[in-house]
Amino acid sequence: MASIPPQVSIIEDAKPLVLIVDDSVDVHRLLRTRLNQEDLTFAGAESGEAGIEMAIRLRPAVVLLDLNMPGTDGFAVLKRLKDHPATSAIPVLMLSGHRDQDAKVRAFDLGAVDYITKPFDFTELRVRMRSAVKMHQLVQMLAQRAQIDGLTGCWNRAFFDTRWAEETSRAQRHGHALSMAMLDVDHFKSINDTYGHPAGDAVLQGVAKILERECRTSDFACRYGGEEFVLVMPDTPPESAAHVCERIRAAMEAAVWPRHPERVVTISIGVAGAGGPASVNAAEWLETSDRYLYRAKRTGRNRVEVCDLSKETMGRLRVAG
Amino acid sequence: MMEAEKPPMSIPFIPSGPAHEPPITSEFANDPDMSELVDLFLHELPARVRAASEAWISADFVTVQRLAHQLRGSSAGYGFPLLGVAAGRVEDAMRISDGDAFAATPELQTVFASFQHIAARVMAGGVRKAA
Repeated sequence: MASIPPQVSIIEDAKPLVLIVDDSVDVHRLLRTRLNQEDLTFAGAESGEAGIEMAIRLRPAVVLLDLNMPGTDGFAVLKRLKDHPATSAIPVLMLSGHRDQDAKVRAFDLGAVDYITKPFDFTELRVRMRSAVKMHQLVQMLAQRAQIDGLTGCWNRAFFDTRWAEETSRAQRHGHALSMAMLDVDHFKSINDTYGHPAGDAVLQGVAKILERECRTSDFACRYGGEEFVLVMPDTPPESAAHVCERIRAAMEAAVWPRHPERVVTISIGVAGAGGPASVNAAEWLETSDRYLYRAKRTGRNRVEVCDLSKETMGRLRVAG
Repeated sequence: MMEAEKPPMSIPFIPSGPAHEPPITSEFANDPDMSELVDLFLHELPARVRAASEAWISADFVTVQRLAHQLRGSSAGYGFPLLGVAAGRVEDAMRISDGDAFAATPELQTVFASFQHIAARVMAGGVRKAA
């Protein structure tokens, strides 16, 4: 049960990770000791290149970055962190033994949030660290909220677009199973016309609750638009996805709507999945589940129609759909 | 001028501070959070100063500058601000002069000697001997 965004609590579950990038082992030891009361965890890199690699891999809450390092210096590291989508939003605090104004200006221009000179005043450093960690948490919260559908609390279309491309790429690269379902509320216009838009909204919220309850931890549900939802099921072959979707369909049919208990609301679901490598791209995959959704609609609604992509070619799918 | 043609430096490594200048102990020697770290810093300092001195003698200015930069940034954090200042002077001097000019200037050689003297006083202070 984890198809709905975990809200802000995800940020508070673990101690923020601080990545120290400095060629001096003394500075690493010093920072870890002097900041050990701050409820942080630390990782360290002693070169710019190692720092970039670790930042991309670990996605720390804050990077403490030395300006003067042999090889790739702090400016070059900062620029590459800000240019990389995985690290561009991570606050970077520059550390330098120099009070050179041009260096400070350049660091801020490149995206640093702070510039701290050595020798450190550790009281000041602690306060600045807290501020940077707070900033990271706020940025995370805003980024997450920008990906949540306000009505249902599901992930939104923007989130889906990004994650779906990642999931299909990952599944095809590693030959993993992957399935997705498109779900559409049957006769939704009639619900709105008969009972009003608040009732329609309540149905959409109800779908989201059922998705949350019936999905597995690894699945994620998104509101695709209007009364359409998508459910992505990583590492799941189509036959297992069909079971999950049948559970969702049945739960929806059995739901009792407090204000209109006489009304049964159903959903139709089109599933497209592959137990291994599939010869379709992300858009074709989505299009296939949409075609199977409309097959479910055409053949009576309140149904789950499933396509096994590892057994089909796109030519056959277009005819079948 | 090619690296091999540079004249060798004339300042040898000085193992201890001048008799009239007292040993330097860490400002944090009695800080329980820091005492182990200060010990470690002092344990490693002779090798670093020796490496800087050897690099100086062989005119390896890149290494001198890097070692001086590291000590500049960390020494005060371990309770040795004077050492940080001395290392900073070495680093700044290396930065503003090219290697050849630096080697030929007695005033700049004095900067390095001063760093060595202060390092020797720090090493003479030993571990956990704060007043």
